[in-house]
Amino acid sequence: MPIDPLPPEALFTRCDAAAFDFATTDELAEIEDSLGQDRAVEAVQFGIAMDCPGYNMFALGPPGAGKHAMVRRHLKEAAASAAPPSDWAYVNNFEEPHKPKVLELSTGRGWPLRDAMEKLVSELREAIPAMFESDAYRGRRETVDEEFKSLHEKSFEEVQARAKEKNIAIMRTQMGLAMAPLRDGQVLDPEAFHKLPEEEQAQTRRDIEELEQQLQDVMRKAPQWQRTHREKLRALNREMTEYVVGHLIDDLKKRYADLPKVAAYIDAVRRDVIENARDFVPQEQPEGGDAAEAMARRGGPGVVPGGGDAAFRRYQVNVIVDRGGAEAAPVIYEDHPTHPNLIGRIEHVAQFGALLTDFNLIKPGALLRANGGYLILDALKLLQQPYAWEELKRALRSGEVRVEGLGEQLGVIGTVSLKPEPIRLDVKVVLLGDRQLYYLLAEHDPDFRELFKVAVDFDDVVDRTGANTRDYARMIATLARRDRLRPLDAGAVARVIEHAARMVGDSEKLSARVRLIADLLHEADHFAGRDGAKVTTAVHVQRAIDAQIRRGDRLRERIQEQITRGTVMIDTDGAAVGQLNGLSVLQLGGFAFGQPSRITARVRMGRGEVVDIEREVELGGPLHSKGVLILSGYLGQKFARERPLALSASLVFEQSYGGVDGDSASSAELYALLSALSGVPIAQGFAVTGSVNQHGRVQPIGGANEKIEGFFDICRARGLNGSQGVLIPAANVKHLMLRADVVAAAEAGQFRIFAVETIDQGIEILTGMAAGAPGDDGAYPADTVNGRVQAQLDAFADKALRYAAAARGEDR
Amino acid sequence: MNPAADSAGNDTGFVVRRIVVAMDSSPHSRAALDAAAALAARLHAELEGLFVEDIDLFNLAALPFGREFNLATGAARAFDAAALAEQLARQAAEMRRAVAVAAARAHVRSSFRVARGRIAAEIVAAAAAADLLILGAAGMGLTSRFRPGRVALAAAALAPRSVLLLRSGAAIRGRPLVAYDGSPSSEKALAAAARLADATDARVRVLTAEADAKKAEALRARAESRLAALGVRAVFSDAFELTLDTMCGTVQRTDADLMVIAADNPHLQGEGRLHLLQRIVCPVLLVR
Repeated sequence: MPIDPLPPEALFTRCDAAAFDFATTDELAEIEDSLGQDRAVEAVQFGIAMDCPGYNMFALGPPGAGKHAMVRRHLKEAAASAAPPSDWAYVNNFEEPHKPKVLELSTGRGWPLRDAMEKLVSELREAIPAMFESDAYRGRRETVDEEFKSLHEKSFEEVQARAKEKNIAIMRTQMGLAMAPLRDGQVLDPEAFHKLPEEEQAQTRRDIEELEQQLQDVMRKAPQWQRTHREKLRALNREMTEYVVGHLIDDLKKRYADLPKVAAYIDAVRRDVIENARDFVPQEQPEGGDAAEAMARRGGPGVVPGGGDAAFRRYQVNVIVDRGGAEAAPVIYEDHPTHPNLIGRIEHVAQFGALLTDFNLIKPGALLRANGGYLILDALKLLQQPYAWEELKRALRSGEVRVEGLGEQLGVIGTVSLKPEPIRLDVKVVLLGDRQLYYLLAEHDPDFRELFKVAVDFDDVVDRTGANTRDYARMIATLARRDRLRPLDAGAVARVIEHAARMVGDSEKLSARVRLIADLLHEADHFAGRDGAKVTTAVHVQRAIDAQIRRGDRLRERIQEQITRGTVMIDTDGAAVGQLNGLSVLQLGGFAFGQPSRITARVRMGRGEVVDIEREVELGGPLHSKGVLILSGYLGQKFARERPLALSASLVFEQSYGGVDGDSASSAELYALLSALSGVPIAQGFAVTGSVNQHGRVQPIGGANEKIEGFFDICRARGLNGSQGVLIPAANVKHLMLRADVVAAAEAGQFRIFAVETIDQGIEILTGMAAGAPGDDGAYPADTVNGRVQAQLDAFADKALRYAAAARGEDR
Repeated sequence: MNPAADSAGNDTGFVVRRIVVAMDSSPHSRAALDAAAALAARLHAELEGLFVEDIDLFNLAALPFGREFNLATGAARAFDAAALAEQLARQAAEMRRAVAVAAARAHVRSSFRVARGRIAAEIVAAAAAADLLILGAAGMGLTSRFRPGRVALAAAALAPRSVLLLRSGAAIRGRPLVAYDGSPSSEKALAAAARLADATDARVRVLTAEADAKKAEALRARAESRLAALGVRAVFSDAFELTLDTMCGTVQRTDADLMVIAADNPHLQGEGRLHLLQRIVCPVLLVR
């Protein structure tokens, strides 16, 4: 029974604007979540609720599916009901300055601690010098000094007195002291000395030796006295400083009594201040340099040296995370997830050619800023950054962040650096990426499945149901309002929805790629603006769609031009044997279009092989070869079940110089083959798409809309004559969302689209001759396509048998 | 009329054409050189550096048992004459250079002389040929407590000319305090103070101690007119008596940075000099 062309309404499923109960999108309520992403929403909510390690999320889906917005919204909601997490600060480790200690403080107490420490230091810088200047201190210091001096001098004076008794002078030399005999207050010259009686000379020598001994004894004791003196001074300084510092530090400690680690830190500060009270006296110059330098030396590698206030850097509090004023847990999106931006870094300052650092130069990364909350990252960006992915996994696995420079980690930088105490990490990370990336990670990274247990899978499409269509309109309204666009009238909304179906090539589905819809709305708004319209209409939407196509279709134009000028030979009328127009789709960037190709088949007697010329020259892919091999199966089971298939056929895509793959041309190849075998010409006004199975059933293919439009454009360019059209698989009818001009031509009877289920249906349309059903004897009627094919194959078989018998006779 | 003579015809001028600075390797001596160069420039005088090689050290080195003890370690070693000579020569060369540099910087003529003998005697002798002797007030003592050197004491007592004594760290910026009782020698001290006052803010603080109000008034008027004649303003401080204590106290209370006293001041005789030098808080000019 002949098949009718598809009615126009089957070519395009309209969205009826009249069915909408709104005039413009201003009347529509906003929609919160992306449409049709129920699975993803459930997954996000599950991921948020799972309070176990490893339940981080990977939101996968096509670009523009609204992953970021949806994930962020749900995270924000969850964060709003959570208490803001702790503040974190790094402080000096007075025992080991290169291992700074971390303090965890309840929310909003980080900066107050920092300010309190600054105030404390500033008060100490006034109180301690004032203490050293005080009469009480001076008095006690003078007592200690006097005690030492008296001891010292008394000892020397004793020696001096004995020397005077014995007429010996103690003289100052360049290096030290020397003794010489005196007479009448003058040192004796050698001549005078030698004139003295022998006994007196000997006595003088003995006296000098004795005095020298005494002098040496005194000098040997001097260091011990000095040590005792210094110790007494230190004890005095400690006692006095403790008195001054004690109440200031106690006040501070009271405020942080509930945080034992902070209280312990304040105690350490107290000990350090007391030990180094002299550093707070600005004029004081300890041996070998100024106070700041001396302090920096004591600080070791953990304290950056410098003058003035730099000396007090070690009492600073480096608040790396402060939640002051926050009422919710943080939701952080790190746009540039480099290793330092993610983990944090330790900065250095150059001083006299050396790179120095201290705990004040520790800077937090996104992980720490998001600690206690949520962190969103783009998976691809993360993987592109050296070591960022590895470090993120390490942090998530260990549950702590260890701020460390990449250079030190890799051992390429040997400068003195820090080993800050790690910070406990409690963060949920959400990665955003496309599906391929997710599956690659799942396949190749053993840690990935452990650390990102929740896949938030975003759908590409939404079912085009009545309810969804209404929600889609609300989504359009939401996008327009959010982006401050003109409202769209019902017609414009309907046109956008139609286009959303066309985007996914399915009249029963709508695109879930919100960004592409938003782009279309922006562009339509632009055209509305150019018209001075207050409301965007369907006309503006259509202009935006046309402009998108116009921007992307340069190549399509060139290819079509080659066909219309006859460079690429495609017939659109007349009839030919073994020749047919196949259809393929080219996707370049964001634009896809159909392109007809001439497929030809030639047959002769042979051994049952169908030669795929594309395959022979390695231009055909495996799927194409599969399709061609299926043809042999079809021919064999239909026409040569009892006899040998004595056929040799060759199939080729004419003028195809690139690769061919896919099996969507296999039905076209079969039609060409049947025509070649039967000798029945095929009307060249047709183009065909669809794959075929061994039973001769035509199977659906992709890109039906583009393929039909691609052939239509060629026919229209040459003049539509009412006999042209396209054969598509019946299963593809639901995918049709054809251009308005194609639908209009179909309505006018100038262009026909046939939906076929079997090869027999198709060949009848193409040849105008019945395909023919087998009789009881299995034979096809002679005046049918199948009958002619059968006859030709039988003829080949007979000839083949004869040749074979003749060959055997010759052999004998 | 000779501006440098008082009404009785006594020479009250303070004319300095040649300054001798006595040097050793102590920091006070360096301070003395710097002050000497600055004064030489201000007074348009010639500068002579003097370094005395102590003959007693040579005598000690020549004795068979001459030994030296290192102050820091207490270690003893033989005191060798050749090494001593070499060391002193090195010091002398260094000082010669220092004098040349200081003089060049101050744009004054200079010379340098090395003498060998007893230090005090040599310095006193050199002072006789100059108008002003400058020396560091303390040598290197045995202990850390400040004690005036024998040399400084001897020079203060015996030098026939004015002596300026100073310690390391002291600078003369031109704010003299002069002890004035109207005596001829205090007139000379007043004139010396006027010469040393800062050129831009020429003023001298005059310390008087006269119980009788009328006499005190007259004394002040006299000092004022003397200073006015020299183009210098007088500022007065009173004391019950002109003792060293009141002078030192006045220096501490005011902005004075140089104490100018007549060398024959009764408080500076005998132990008084020692007392003064022990309590010295700023440079002291003993005027003769």
